[in-house]
Parts: sequence; C-alpha cells; structure tokens
Amino acid sequence: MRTLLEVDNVSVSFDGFKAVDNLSFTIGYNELQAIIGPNGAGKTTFMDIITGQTKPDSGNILWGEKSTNLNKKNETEIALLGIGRKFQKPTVFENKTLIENLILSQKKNRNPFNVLFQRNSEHEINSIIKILKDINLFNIKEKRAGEISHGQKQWLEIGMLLTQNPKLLLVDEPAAGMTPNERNQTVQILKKLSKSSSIIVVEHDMEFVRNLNCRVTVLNEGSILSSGSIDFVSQNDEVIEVYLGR
Amino acid sequence: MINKIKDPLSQHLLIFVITMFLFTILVTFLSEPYGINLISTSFVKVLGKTLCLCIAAVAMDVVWGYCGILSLGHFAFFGLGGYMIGMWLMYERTELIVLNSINEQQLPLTPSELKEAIGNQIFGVVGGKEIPNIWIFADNIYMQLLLVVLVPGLLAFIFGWLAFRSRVTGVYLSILTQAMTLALSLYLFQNDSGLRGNNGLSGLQNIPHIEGLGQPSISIWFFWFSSIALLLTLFIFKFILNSKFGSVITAVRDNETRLRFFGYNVESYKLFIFVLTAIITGLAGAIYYPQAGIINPAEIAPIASIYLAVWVAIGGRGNLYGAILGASSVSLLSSWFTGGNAPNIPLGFYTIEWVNWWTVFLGIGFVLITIFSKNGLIGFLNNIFIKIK
Ligand SMILES: Nc1ncnc2c1ncn2[C@@H]1O[C@H](COP(=O)(O)OP(=O)(O)O)[C@@H](O)[C@H]1O
Ligand SMILES: [Mg+2]
Repeated sequence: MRTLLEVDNVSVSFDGFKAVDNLSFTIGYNELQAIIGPNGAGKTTFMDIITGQTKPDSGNILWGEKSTNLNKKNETEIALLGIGRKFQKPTVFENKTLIENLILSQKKNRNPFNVLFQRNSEHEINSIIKILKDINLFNIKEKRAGEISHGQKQWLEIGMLLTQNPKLLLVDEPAAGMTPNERNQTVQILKKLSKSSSIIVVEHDMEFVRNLNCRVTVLNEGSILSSGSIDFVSQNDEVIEVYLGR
Repeated sequence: MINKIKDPLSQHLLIFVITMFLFTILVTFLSEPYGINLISTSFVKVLGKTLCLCIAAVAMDVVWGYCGILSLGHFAFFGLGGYMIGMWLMYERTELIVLNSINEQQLPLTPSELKEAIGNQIFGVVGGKEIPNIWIFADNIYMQLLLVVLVPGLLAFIFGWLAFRSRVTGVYLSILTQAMTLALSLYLFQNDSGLRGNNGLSGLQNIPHIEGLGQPSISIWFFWFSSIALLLTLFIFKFILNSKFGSVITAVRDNETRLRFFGYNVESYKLFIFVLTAIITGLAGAIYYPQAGIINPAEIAPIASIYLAVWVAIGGRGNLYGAILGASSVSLLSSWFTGGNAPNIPLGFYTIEWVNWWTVFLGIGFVLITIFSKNGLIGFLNNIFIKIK
C-alpha cells in the first residue's frame, strides 16, 4: 500500500514531561486506522503534531507521494495540503441549516466581493448532496444545526470537513456522548468515508473500535504498546493491564 | 434548491413594496398640492423624515442585528451626509440671492467679489467671511453628492480598519464608536470648524432653482424620494443578506473564531458591512436634512446613535421590517409627545408633562419589550399572527 502519512520517531515533551515518546506510525491512502489509549496517553497531542498545532522536539512527519516534510509548515499550510481535523467538541453554526453550514465551509473563494455573487455549480451542489447522504443527514438538510442531536452535530462537523476534500481526516473521539444507535451509525459513516480518504480515529471506547474493524494502535504514556487487529492487540498483556488491570 | 437558500424576492418584500406604494399614493392624495388638502405640509415632512430614519435603522440592523457589531456611532454618518448636501444647498442658494440683489444694481461682480459676498452671508454668524477650504466643491452639486458618499464612507473605512484590525469587539467597540461621534460633534461645535459651529447649516428646505415650486410640492417630492430610497435600501440589503455573503456575516455574529478557522478573513467582512451601512446611512441623512431644513452638531451627539440602536432593539433585531417598525413608531411617537401635542395629565398634586416624561415612558417601554419579547415588536406581532393561524 502506498504511504500517505509517515510519522517517524517523533517525541514531544512539555516542561520535561514526555507526552509523546519516540512514536512511529504510518497510514496509507484510503485507509482507516484507530488509535486507542487511556486518558493522558498522548492521543490528542499526537493529532496536534500532525496538524502543526504542536511542533515535535525530534523526528519527522512526512506527507504524500513526495514525502514532503511537515515539520516546518504552519497549521494553515498543513490544512491546505489536505489534512482535516474534527475536534472533540463540535462547533457548528447553530442558527444555520445543515446546508448553509456546508456551503459556508465549502472550499471556494473567500474574498467578500466574490462571495457576494457566489453561486454553486451543479457539480458543487451534487457534491454537497453526496456529503449529506454520506453523513446520514440528507433527510433533515433544511433543519437548523441547533435543533439536531449531539451525535448528528458530530456528523455535520465531519461533513463540513469533507467539503474541503481532505486526503486525511483526523477524528478525535467521535463517539463521545453518542447514543448506542448513533455510535453504530458513526461506525458505518467512517467506514464509508474511508473508501475515498484516509481516516485516523482516536477513541477510548473499545467496543466502538472493534466495530470499525481496522488496524488499531494502542498508546500509553506517549508510546506504542501494541499495533495490529483489535483481536491481536487485546491479547497483549500490557494492553490488558492498562485497560483492565486497574 | 441549494443555490437559492432563500428566495431573494420573498413574499414579505413584495407585500412591503405594495404597502409602501399604497401609503405613498395615499399621502399624496391627502396632501395640499396634489390632493384634497387634508394633511399639512409639515406633517408630510415629518413622514418623509421618518422614512429616512427608517433607512438609517435598517442599516443599523444590518451592522448590529446581522453582523453583530453594536455601532453606537452610525448617526455621525447620517449627520455627515446631511452636512455634505447642506453645503451645496446653502452655497448655491446664497449665490443665487447675492446674484439677484446685484442684478438690481446692474453692476456685475468679479468672481472674488462674489465669493466674498457669499462668504459674508454664510459665515457672518461665526465672525468670518473667508470661505473655508472644505467648501471648495460647494458650488458643484455633483461633487457634493459624491462627498455625501465619500465622507461617511471614508470615515467608516478608516475607523473600521483600525478597530477591526486590532480585533476590538463587543462593548469596547461600542464605546469607541461613541467616542467617534462625540469627537466629531464637539469638533463641529467649534466656530472655526468651517461648518458654522453651533449654528450649523440652515435654510436647507429652500432647494435652489426649484424654490418656485413652493414648500408643499417640494415636501411631496422629497417624501416620494425618501420612500423610493427606503425601498432601494431594502432591496440592496435583502440581496446581500440572502446571498452567501449574508450567511457569512451572521456567522461572524454567531462565532467569528470558528469562521476564521474556515479561512474567512472576518475583518474584511466586518469592514465591508461597516462601510456600506455608513454610506447608506449618510445618503439617508442627505435626504433627511433638506426636509428638516437645518442641521447642527447637536444632531450627532452620542445620544442620537444610541436612539438608533434603541429603535432597532424595540422593533426587533435581526429583522429589517422590525427595524422599520421600531424606527417609525418610536420616532413618530417621540415627535408627538415632545412636540407639545400630547395632552398633559394633571394629577392634582403633580402634572405629567409629556415633554419631560416621554423619555421615561420610552425607557420603560424599552425595558418591557426587551424583557417580554426577545425579538421586539415584530417578534410580538409574528407570535400573534401564528396564534391567529
Ligand atoms: N500544552 C500542554 N502543556 C502541558 N502538558 C500537556 C499539554 N498538552 C497535553 N499535555 C499533557 O500531555 C499528556 C497527553 O495529553 P493528551 O494528548 O491530551 O492525552 P489524550 O488525548 O490521550 O487524553 C497529558 O498528561 C497532558 O496533561
Ligand atoms: Mg484527548
């Protein structure tokens, strides 16, 4: 499989405390992977490193066919390369309909004078419709974002990322606060999306990750305990200790 | 379906256009020069002026209700528009008067003698006769009309650029806009400001070259003019608000940080709206003051801009018809109560004189409306409509 992103021996410490320690990780095109680990394991920090919010103390982050080094790029440049990130707390525009939210996030000219006369081509409309269907919100597309459930807001936020046509999606704890039914749908949505882009899901819910049925990397105290299928990692003694031992 | 988020020419707008049209016809029909002489010329002027205030309120609603910038300085732009057109009106009329009086003596004036005579007439009250440099274009209506747009626009641009770029928001911005209008007003109060100090510009109701028509006709003309201007204002803002641009500015109001994450330059959107609303407010002022007849620095005292915000809040923020309802009802009531028309209420031990008590009454009304109807009068009416249906 061709490699889309390679994180190579990266370390970060905050005031001497190693939040991420010699971590290496790769993901290919259109691949779905999960990262799990207890609170404070360094999952969010790991995402911060990829998106440029946090600079690594050592190690490299390489992107795409040409292995572009991301270490020296800022957040905006990295976002423009095609890395989209969903934060833990959904922030959608509550007063706007789902469609308006998606149109707002669309990847188009943002100059005010241009926006004043901006219309959507048929192609662009179709791609918004496709996104609405992919995130299971097509039927309520005219609803205001403030009226939908927490889980649906999470999907809308994913949809807003998708309008940017990202090559890699970073999704931080998507299932937090969701009903069991919404969790199942989220699994389906992520699987569907991984057909056309790569996705890294951070989650600490084991059951959710099991349903994703993908490669899993277990993080603890900043370093990798184990990596492989969910069945494989859950037989690892250290993993069992971290998750069940205490 | 997705392209047309909302229909720009919505039903409401159509209803409003028709209502305005009928109202304008009705007033014309009741007027002295073109109808059955049931309403006075001064009342026609009150109505025309009210329409101009509605334009300012609509602009205020766009900048505050939709874009979330509580500007408490927009009346400065209104006044500046008035001053700019007032300069031409006063200069041109004085020139005509001077030339007329000379004709009788059969002695042609040199240009500099003419200038001096005009200067004497206009600036005598502030002890000068030199025509200040800012009056350089005053004899040219096209230039002065251009200034009606440019002066408020430029002031708004410079102020907005400095304020938004430094990320001044919320109450700090409101205070800054109050300071702006206060500073401008204090400056104009000075006799050497070049705009006749506290005397202001007067005689503006006498429109040069068409004075012969008489005030009754002119007042109707201006009333029509104000009415068309209000409709045009609504069209422009409805177009903007219904476009994607409108969606962006309400997003600025709701969560500008999030919008920045999407790569929107929030400051340039704010600046666009601030400047555009300033220009429209200035134009409204330019139609208002020829009907009022006089403009002086007291007009742009800080309280005037606060009133503008109060009208919008009472009418219903975030709804252009609400702004019109608030501005028209409150300003009409206000001129009724303070104009000495309202009967005083004798309580025996004390007499309620409306001239003094109106502001208290307005204040209480403001508090009650904001407490009981989040969306102002228009929200209240909407609720009633929904209940009837
Ligand atoms: N900016 C920061 N400054 C100091 N410590 C931090 C900072 N960000 C994260 N940490 C610490 O790094 C560790 C990993 O945090 P985080 O990546 O948020 O964990 P997770 O997302 O897996 O729960 C935690 O102990 C946290 O307190
Ligand atoms: Mg976290």
